[in-house]
Amino acid sequence: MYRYSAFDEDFVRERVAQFRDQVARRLSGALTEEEFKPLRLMNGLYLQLHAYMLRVAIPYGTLSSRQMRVLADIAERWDRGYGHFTTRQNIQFNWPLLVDTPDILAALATADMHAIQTSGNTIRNVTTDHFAGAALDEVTDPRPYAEWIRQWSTDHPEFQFLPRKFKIAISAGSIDRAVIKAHDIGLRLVQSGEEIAFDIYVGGGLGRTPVVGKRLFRGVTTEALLPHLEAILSVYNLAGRRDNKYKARIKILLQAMGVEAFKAAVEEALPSATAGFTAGDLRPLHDIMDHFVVPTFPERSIEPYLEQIDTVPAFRSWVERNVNPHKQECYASVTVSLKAHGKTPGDASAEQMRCLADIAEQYGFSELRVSHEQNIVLPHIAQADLPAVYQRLCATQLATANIGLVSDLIACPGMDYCALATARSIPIAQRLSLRYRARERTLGPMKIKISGCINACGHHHIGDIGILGLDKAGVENYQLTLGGRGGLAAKLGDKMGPGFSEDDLVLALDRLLDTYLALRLSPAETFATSVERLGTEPFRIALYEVSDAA
Amino acid sequence: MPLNTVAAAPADVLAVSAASDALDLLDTEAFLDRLLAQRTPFGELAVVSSFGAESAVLLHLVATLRPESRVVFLDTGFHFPETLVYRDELIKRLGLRGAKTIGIDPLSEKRYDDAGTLHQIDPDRCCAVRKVQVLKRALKPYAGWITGQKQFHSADRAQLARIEWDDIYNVWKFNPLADWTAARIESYHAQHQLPRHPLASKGYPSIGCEPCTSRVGRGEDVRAGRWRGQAKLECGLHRNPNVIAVSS
Repeated sequence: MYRYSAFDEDFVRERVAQFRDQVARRLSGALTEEEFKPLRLMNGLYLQLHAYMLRVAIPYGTLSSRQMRVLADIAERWDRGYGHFTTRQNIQFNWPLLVDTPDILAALATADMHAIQTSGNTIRNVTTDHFAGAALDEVTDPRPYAEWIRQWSTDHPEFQFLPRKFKIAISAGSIDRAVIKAHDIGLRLVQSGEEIAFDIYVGGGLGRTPVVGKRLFRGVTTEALLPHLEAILSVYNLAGRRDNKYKARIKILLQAMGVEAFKAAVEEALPSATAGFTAGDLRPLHDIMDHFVVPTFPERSIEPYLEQIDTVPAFRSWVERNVNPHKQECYASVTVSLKAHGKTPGDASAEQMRCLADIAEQYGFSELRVSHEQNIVLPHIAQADLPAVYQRLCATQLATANIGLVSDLIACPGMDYCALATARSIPIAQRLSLRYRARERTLGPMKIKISGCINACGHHHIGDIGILGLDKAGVENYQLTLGGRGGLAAKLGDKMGPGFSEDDLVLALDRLLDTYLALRLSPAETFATSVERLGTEPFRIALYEVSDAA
Repeated sequence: MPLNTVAAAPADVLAVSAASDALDLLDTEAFLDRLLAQRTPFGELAVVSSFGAESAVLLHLVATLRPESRVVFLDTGFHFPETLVYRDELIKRLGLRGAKTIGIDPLSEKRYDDAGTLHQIDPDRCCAVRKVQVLKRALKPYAGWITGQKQFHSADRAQLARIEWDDIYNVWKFNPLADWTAARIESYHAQHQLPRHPLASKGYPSIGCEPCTSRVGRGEDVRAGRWRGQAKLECGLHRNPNVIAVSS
């Protein structure tokens, strides 16, 4: 795993000291909130509805046991005993006191973590496949490239004041598990002869103007990657709008200029961007790769696993839902659900974090991942150890076997925490997960995604069922989209008609799901496939059946 | 768990060989009765049945002799729904108390055939992961298996022996019905009024997985509908040139 160099360490320590001083001046009144705001945002500190919120970067979603324990300590010592894992592979602490935040950042620094560039109009945390380094279908581990980009983008002098925030995701599998087409830049690693090359997608993003990213470049070599990123960002930095924050993302620029014109501008900027790099700039990448050496996986018998599969039905259904095969035979990747029925999606208590850290240390090469679907992944577990891991997870309420089902839903913090929210999302998530608990296996794979405002942090546009909470004359109103999907064939869902009150929403969903069960050709036909086959119309009709009659 | 695993290793070749010779003189029922005994010179054995068109005969014999015997059904995940219904009906009707279904484990399925299309791409590999590997797992606690194979089923099976050493699984293999003719099967069926597989009367004399089994025309081999249009004749559960016949 990547460890900070002495340079990284000094840099982060210095930033903590700086921030300590800024907080002291804010607390003494020397700085107004207006003056303090840009400073705190440089360090991931937001002011939300009820409290400050600290967003900590988990680069490419990879954590060590040691880092997870530090997060647990922070949750316990300076927050209310839990943290919230987000759709961008970060963790948020919802209740820190301002006076404590410098100590929190100092604690993070002891485990090579920070909150730099988790907010503001900069390049944010580079996200990737949560199975990176373990996935059967990847051409190579994308994380060294993600770290390389992180180092290039961190404190990049030219890109600290972009027109708007900028998100990069990178994926190396035949299946895209990082939603690269919903990012400002999405990178896909492909095999090109002996070499690794990159397909570059630009201008994707959800939010109030959802757009699927377009592939601008194919087969870009490793040497040419950073120059391409630099050129794309410099074109955006100059031409992107700064007069209206709702029109400031790169996707709007791409629409305004046209894809071809934008590409031409990038190509024009390429020579000077390329001139800024030398062959020596590849050296950090090679150093980084040394940090990502794949653990040696000792051969283990799978007998203990098979014996439990045949005799313990609960273990079997957990494996069916939550465990994926690993590139190394006789190993597996475990997805630990943070979606226990009725609980807040993505929340983990300090006790649960420590339990995960311990399990990873004992059975999983001390490695953990945060998935963009707000779960935790133990990427390298011997199949022989799965029964023991399952037992440990059961003891800490972490063995919910629901990955990919209705209750594995994504929800933004919504009105319970967020200053931007127009409706609650967490209580809707809790209600739906409890309501469909008994039926979710029958319903099969289904992605429900809930956003509490138009900014779409809950990714509702790419859910099989997307729920958008709005405020309608002081009353929460939930609008639906159907048939969205992420991945390489990403598609935005179709907007249905008028929204519903919370109570009508669940009734409408009942009708929708009953209709799906009635219309599907067989239990093997997923909801997504049914919608693809039939279109959204029969489902739209079901949603409004009763309301129309009334 | 088997009660006499100690005897499972075919170490005492002489005893086994003597037992084989003695067994071979017995008629089908007496032969099967010895095999189903808790203690055999071979170790504990399991019956493996496809619950196909002719399976009722062996299963009826087993149920009559020792209904508690272990009977294993390999669920490939691609059986005809009629087969699964028929399995449940036969188990209930015959009172097979030791019947057990076993299928591919979920991680192997995700690893080798996540999309469920392997049977189209590479049927041999599909059989290997969904049947052969699963049988290996099923037979782990046993010293051998008892099958319903018959010589008349195909040219390849014409030389089938009643007792074999099966070195795919490293266990003994018994084919009590090896020398039964189609007529004898039929008359046993009729005599005991055994329920028929719903597809047997619809042109399926040999029933495997749904995607790889088709109807058989008049005058064709019983197994002609299996992997039709392909060189493949066997799923690999039985195919093994190294099977050594110790008796015939």
